[in-house]
Amino acid sequence: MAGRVTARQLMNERFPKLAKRTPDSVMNPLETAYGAWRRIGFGRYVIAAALMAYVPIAIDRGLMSPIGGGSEYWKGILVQTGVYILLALGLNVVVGLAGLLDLGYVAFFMLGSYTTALMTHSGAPDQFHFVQWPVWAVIPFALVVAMLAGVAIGLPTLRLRGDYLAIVTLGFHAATLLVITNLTITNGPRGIFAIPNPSIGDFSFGLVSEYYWWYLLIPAILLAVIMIRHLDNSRVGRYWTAIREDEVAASAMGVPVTKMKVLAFVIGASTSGIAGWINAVYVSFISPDSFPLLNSILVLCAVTIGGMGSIAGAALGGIIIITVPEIIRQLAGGNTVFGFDPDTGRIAIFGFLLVVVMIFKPGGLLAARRRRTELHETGAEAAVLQTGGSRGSRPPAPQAQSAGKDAE
Amino acid sequence: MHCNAGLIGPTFVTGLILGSLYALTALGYTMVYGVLKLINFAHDAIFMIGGMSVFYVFGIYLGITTPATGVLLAGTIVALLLVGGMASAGAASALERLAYRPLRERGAARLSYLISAIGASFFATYLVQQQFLLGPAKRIFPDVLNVTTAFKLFGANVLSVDVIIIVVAVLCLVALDRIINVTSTGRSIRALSEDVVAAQLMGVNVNRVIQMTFIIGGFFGGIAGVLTGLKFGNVVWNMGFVAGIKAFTAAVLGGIGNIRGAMLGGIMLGLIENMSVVCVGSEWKNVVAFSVLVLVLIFRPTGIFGEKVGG
Amino acid sequence: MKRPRWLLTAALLSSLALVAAACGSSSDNGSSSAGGSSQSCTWTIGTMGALSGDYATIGIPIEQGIQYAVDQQNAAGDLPCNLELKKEDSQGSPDKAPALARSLAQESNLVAVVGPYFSGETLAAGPVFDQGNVPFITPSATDPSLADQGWTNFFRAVGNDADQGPTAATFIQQKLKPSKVFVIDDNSQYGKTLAGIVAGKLGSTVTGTAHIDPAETDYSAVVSQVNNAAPDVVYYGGYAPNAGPLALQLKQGGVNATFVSDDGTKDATYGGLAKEAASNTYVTCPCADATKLPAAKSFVSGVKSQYNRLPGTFAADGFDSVNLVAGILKDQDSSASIESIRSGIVQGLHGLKAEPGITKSYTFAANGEVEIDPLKDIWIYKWDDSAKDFVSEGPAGEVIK
Repeated sequence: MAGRVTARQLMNERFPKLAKRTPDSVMNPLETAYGAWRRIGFGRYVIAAALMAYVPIAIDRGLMSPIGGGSEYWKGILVQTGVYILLALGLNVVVGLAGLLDLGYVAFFMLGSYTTALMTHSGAPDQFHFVQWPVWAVIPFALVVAMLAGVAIGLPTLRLRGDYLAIVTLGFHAATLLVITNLTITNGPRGIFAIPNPSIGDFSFGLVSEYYWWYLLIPAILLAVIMIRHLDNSRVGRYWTAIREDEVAASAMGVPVTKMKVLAFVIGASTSGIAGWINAVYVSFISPDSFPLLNSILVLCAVTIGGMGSIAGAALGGIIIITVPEIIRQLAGGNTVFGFDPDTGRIAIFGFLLVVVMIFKPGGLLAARRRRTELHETGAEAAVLQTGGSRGSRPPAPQAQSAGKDAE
Repeated sequence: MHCNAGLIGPTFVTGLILGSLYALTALGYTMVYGVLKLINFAHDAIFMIGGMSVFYVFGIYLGITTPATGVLLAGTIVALLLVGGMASAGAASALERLAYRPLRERGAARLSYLISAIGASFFATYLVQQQFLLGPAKRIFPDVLNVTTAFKLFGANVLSVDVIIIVVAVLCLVALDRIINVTSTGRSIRALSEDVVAAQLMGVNVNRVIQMTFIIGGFFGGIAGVLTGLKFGNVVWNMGFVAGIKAFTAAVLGGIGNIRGAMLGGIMLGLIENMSVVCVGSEWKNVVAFSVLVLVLIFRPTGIFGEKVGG
Repeated sequence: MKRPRWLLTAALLSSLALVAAACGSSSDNGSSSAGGSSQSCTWTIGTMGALSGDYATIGIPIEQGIQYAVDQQNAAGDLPCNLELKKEDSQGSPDKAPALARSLAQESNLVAVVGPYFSGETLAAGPVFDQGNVPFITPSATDPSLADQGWTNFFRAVGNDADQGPTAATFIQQKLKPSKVFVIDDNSQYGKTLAGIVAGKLGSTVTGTAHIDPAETDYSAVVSQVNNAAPDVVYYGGYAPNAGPLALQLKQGGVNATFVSDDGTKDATYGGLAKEAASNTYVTCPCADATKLPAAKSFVSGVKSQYNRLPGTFAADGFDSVNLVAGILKDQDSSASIESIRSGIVQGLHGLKAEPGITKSYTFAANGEVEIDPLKDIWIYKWDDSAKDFVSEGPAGEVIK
C-alpha cells in the first residue's frame, strides 16, 4: 500500500464529485503541496506536533470565545479529548484493523488508571498500595498491566465468533468494574483520591494550567500514531486485514491468526494504559463511577463515526464525541436543545449516527484507504445475511456451505 | 466462605420467578440468532419499549390509578400485555426495517450489523431518557394490580404478580413452540435457520420471515418488559440494560438459537444468581453470573442444550 | 444500489435542526451580577456542581440558595465591593472538575468558592483549589474523607456522614429500640460509607449486611437474606430511586421492619416507588428543615418568591456559606490584592466562633469541618402519605427524647 498516490487520485477516491469540479489551476498547487507533504516523511509528525501545540495557545487567544466558556475550561475539554483520542486510536486497532468487536475497551483504561493509583503516593495513609513510587516511574507499569489484560482477554476468547466476543468483552468490563467496586484494596466504591500530580523539579503539573497536560498528551498521541501506522503498513497490518476479511482463508494462507489477534488486543490496550495513567494523575481521583460501560460504547462510537481502520478517523472521532457536545452545550447555555439534554442527548444522537454511518457510509467520515477497497464485504459469515436481501441475486453457491455450518 | 442453608429454599423460589422473566426476554435474542446468526443488541431497548408503552397508554392516557379485580383484572392484564407486546413488536419490526435490512441489501459484514444494532439500542434508550419522554427518573407503573401474597413456598412469599409471571411465561413458551413447530411461518423460520439458500430456493420469502422473526421475538420481549413493570411497580429508561445482559446470558446458557434452551437457560440463570447469596455476599451475585457466561462461552460455546431452533 | 434516501435526508435535517436550535437559544450561562448598590469594584464568588444532566435536580436547589444569598448581599450593599457569582456546571462528574476548578481559580477577582456539591468532584477539584490558595466551602458534600486531605483552605458547612451515621444509629437504638437490624447499601461511595458507619455503631444488633446493584430492579436475593434474618429495622444507605423499590420489595416479601435511610433517600419520588411500604420510613439528613427554623423565615419566603418553589435540600446551607464569606469580606479592603483577601477569608473562617447562620451556628475545626451538634443539626424526617413528601419530625435530639 506504499505506492505513490497523487492528490488527484485521493480526491477522486474520496470526493469524486468535488474532484470533477476542481480546475487544474487549483489542483496543481495542491499537488505540489501534497507531494511536499509526502516527501518530508518524518517531518510531518513535527509539523503535526507544532500544530497540536498551538491549539491551547489559540484557545487562550480566544479561539472558542465566540462560543462561550472560559479558556481554561476549553483547555480542560482539550485534555479530555486527548485522552479519548488515545482511547480511540487503541480501539481502532482492535475493531478497525483486526475486525474484532470489543465492547469492553474502557476496562483496559480503568486498569491503567488503577495501576497508577495503587503504585503511587495516593489516598489516605492507610490506603493499600503495592508500592509508592513517583508517578513517572509508574508509566511502564500502567502500560504493561493494560497490555497483560489484553493478553488475558485476548487468549481465551480467540475461538469465539464476532458477536460472542462482543459479549465477552462487555462482560469483562462489567466484571472488572464489579470486582474493583467490591475489593477493599481498591477502596471499593469510594475510589482512590489524592493521586499525585506529576512534577519536574519544582514545577508541578497540577498547579498552573491545563496547557501542560495537553503537552503531556501530544507525545503520547504522536507515538501511538507512529506505532500504529508502522504496524499497519507492515506485515502485521496485512495479516490483520487478512484476518478481518476472511479468517479461515487467512489461516489457510499461513497467517498466524492466534498471535495476530492477541497482538491486536495488546497493541490496542497499550494506548489505553497510557491514557489511564494520564487520566489518573490528571483527575487525581478515580472511582468505579469514572469508568461506566457507557464509555466503552462512546469510544466505539468515536472509532466508527470517525472511520474504522483510519488513524485520522479515530482521532477525529475522539474529537467528535468529546468536543462537539461541549460546543453544543455551551451554545445552548444550560438549556435543552430540541428537548435533548446536551449531555445525555448526545448518546442518542451518536447512537443514531452509528446506524446512519453503518448504512450510508460504512467507512466512517474519514475512511481508511485500504479499507475502502474492501468494504464490499463478502466474508463467509455474511453469506446468510446477503442472501436475505431482496437484491441478494448473487449466486450463493460457495457461501452455502459455510451458512449451513453456522446453523449446526 | 460460610453458607447459610436457610436461604436455599427462598432463593430457589425467587430465583425461579426471576428466571421466568429472563427466559421470556431471552426468547427474542434466541429467535433472531436462530435465523440471522446475529445477536440483536437492540433487544434491550425493545424490552424497555414494552414497559414504557404501557406506562403511557394505561398510566398517562387512560390514567388508571385503582387496581381492578376479578374478570376485569384478567381483562386488564391481557390488554396490558397486548399493548406492550405490540408496541415492542412494532419497534422490533421498525428496527429490522431501518437498521438491519439496508445492511442486508448491501451485503455488509457482520461487524456492521452489531454496530448498527448497538447504535439503534443507544438511540432508543437515550431518546427515552430525555425529558420529553420518560426522563431520567424512575416512573410509576400504572397500579392495575393489587399485589398481594398468593401463598408461601419454602419460606418465600409468592405474590399474585409472580403467579401471573409464571403463567404468562409458560403460556408464551407453549405458544411459541406451537408457532415454530406447527404454523407455516414457523416452518419458514426453521427452514431459514437450517439453510438460508435452500429455503430461498424453496420459495421462502426471506425478508418477510426475518421481519416475522423480529416481530415475534419483540412481542415476547415487550411482554417481559410489561411484567417487569407490573412486578416492580416502576419503569425506567435503562431498565433494559441489565435485563438485556441477563437475558442474553440466559440465551447463551441454554444454547442460543434454541427456544426451549432459552427458557431453561433463563431459569438456570435466575437460580444461579439468587442462590449464589447462600454462600457469597450479594455484591458478588453479578460477578458469578458474568463468570458463568464467560465460562460457558469459552468451554461450550453452543450452550448447554445446543443450538437449534425448535429444540 | 437502492438505499432509503429519505433516511439520509431525515438524518441531515435533524442534525441541521439541532445546530440551528443550539445557535438560536444561545445565552450566557456564566456569571450574573445583581445590581442594587453602586460599588465600582467586583469580587467573584465561584460555585460548581451539577447544574445540568442527571444530577441537576440535586444541584440546582443548592445553586438557588447560593444565588439568592449573593443577590441579598448585593441588595443590602454592606460590602466594599459588589459580589458576582460565577457558576461552573460540572454535571457532578469528577472528570470535568479539575479543569473547572482551574477555570475558577484563575478568575482574577475570585475570592472564594462555595462548592463543589458532591464528594467525588470535590476530591478531584480540591487539589487545584488547595494549590491555588482558593478558600472553598462545600455546602453539601458529606464524605468524611474530604476533611482528611490536608487541604488548608477547605471548609464544610454541613455535618458529614461520620456525624449522620452515628446519629442515625442512635436514633435507631433509642427511638426504634430494635433487637435486630439489617444493613443494606447500594455499593456506591456514599451509600457504602454511610451504611458502614451505621453498622459499626450498631454493633451486635446488626444481624446481617447486604449490597444491592443500583442498576438492577430485582432485589429478591437480598429480600430473602433479610427475611431469613427477620430484623425489626432495615437501614439502607443509598438514594431514593433504589430505596423506594427496595422498601416495596421487602414489604411484599414479608419483611415487616421499619425502614431507615439517609438524605439521599429524602426525595418526594420515594413515596411513589415504595407505595404501601413508604409510610413506615424515616430518613436522617444533616439538612435542617428551613420551614421550621425561626431564623430562616425570610429566606424561605424569599426563595419562594424568587424561584417559585420552597428551598430544596442543602439550599439553606449554601445560603449560609455565602453569608459567612460575606461577613468576612465586610472587613476587607477593596483595594487589597486578591491573594490577601483569599487568605483573609481562610483566616476569618477559621476564626469564627459560633457565628449564627440560619440553619446552625458555625465554628470550623482546624481541618475545615464545621463543629456541629449532631443531635441538634441532624434532623429526622418521616414519610407522610398525605403530604406526599418527607416531613420533618425535628432535630434528632428532640425526636429521640
